[in-house]
Amino acid sequence: MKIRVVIPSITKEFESIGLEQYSPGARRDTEISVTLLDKGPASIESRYEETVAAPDIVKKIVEAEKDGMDAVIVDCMAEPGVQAAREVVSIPVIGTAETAMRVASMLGHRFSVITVLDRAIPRFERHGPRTGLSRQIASLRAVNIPVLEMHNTGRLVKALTEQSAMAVREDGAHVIVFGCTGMSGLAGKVKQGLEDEGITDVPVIDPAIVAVKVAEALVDMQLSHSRKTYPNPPEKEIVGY
Amino acid sequence: MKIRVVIPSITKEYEALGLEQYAPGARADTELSVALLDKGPASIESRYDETVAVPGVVGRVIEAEKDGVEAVIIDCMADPGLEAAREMVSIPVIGPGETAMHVASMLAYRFSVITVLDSAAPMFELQAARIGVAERLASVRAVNIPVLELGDTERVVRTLTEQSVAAVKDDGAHLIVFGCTGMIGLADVVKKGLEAQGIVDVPVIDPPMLAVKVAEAFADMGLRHSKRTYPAPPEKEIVGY
Repeated sequence: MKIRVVIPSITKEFESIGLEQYSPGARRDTEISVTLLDKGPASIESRYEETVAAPDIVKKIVEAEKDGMDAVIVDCMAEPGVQAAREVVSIPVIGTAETAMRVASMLGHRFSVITVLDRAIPRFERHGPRTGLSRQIASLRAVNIPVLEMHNTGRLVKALTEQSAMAVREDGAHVIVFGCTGMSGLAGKVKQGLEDEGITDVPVIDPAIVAVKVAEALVDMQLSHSRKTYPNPPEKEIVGY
Repeated sequence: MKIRVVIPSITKEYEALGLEQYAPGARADTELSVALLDKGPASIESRYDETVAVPGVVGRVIEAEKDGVEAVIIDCMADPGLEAAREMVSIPVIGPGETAMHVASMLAYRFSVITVLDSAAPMFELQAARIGVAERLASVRAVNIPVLELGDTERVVRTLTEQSVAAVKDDGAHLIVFGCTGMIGLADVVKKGLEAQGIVDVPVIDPPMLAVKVAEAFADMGLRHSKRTYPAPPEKEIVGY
């Protein structure tokens, strides 16, 4: 099976990092490929960046379908372009936030999302009513480390563990969800950090890996999005795309 | 990977049938086993049936964990014993009802459940409310064929297709979820039936097959239910169990 990860960034280094992050989640018979954007931001941390990333994300997803991909993952918890892309392709387009939040609510009564910056928090709150899971969100917290500085893994793990422990102790979280796909690969370390603080009963969800597993499951079952929910756009003149 | 399907029924024929029906959903490296109940009903079609099945279901889930099984599926859309079993074991316990409704909401805005009997409709409405997807449930319809007569495949497929068409045309469903695990294996033929009537844009979910995929995904990721949500029961005297 072929899965394409669309990284909504023009940052060249993210290509090999993305491949490295997503591959451990994939089965042996799953081939992961990665594509960056030609036009758009270095990282997504604001609504503006989300908006200027979306057109090229959709284009990359259309290309992925033409390349014979079985499913696409958009590598950002803001899910830029996900709904638009579903209108123009037939293969499953996986949004990492919705998927992680649904899996979190299957695993525990309440979950907290630990994201990058405080300013991203309203965006996650919006995912609540959209997915119907508002009441399952215990809290939204941030490590306040910019996306482009997240390669300092030691600092990131420490901050993620601190915020996760607070989410459990103060906000009543039963499950932790990472709020940025750039945190992928750290679930084991953060879980260990929580256990070192005596919190042994809280699963930690890595949304990038969950997205791969859900993509594989949907492809296995030949399931994709309903065309009734995501019909093709009406035919009309569109300039520039 | 070892997955155990607990069939909440005392009907001996379901053992071979269950194994045969679930096998196409499993990966080559997944070993499926099936367990029936010693005590309980022949099938689950009422709250009473559900209540008298649950103690046996939980017992089978505990045994599965002792047997070294990595995930358990409870083979009934009512998810009988799901939450109690999660308190007693650490391995993932998958309910096809809960799982199918979450995945349906990922793939479409509104879905309909086509179940066995009209009397099961309130159970599905309550289940949708419990997991936060009540507004996504377009309708619950029934084929009105008792569980123990589901072996009459031709009749089941015909009425499933009829009710699915009505759900799409009259109730606004964008996706169909089978409302009984005894309908396993019929998604393709019902999808073809819909297509024959011009409905080409509606996915059909086979919940037990989906449960296998999700069980595999959770086991792959080492994800388990939060023990904060499902803590072990307090120690006390319990007679008879």
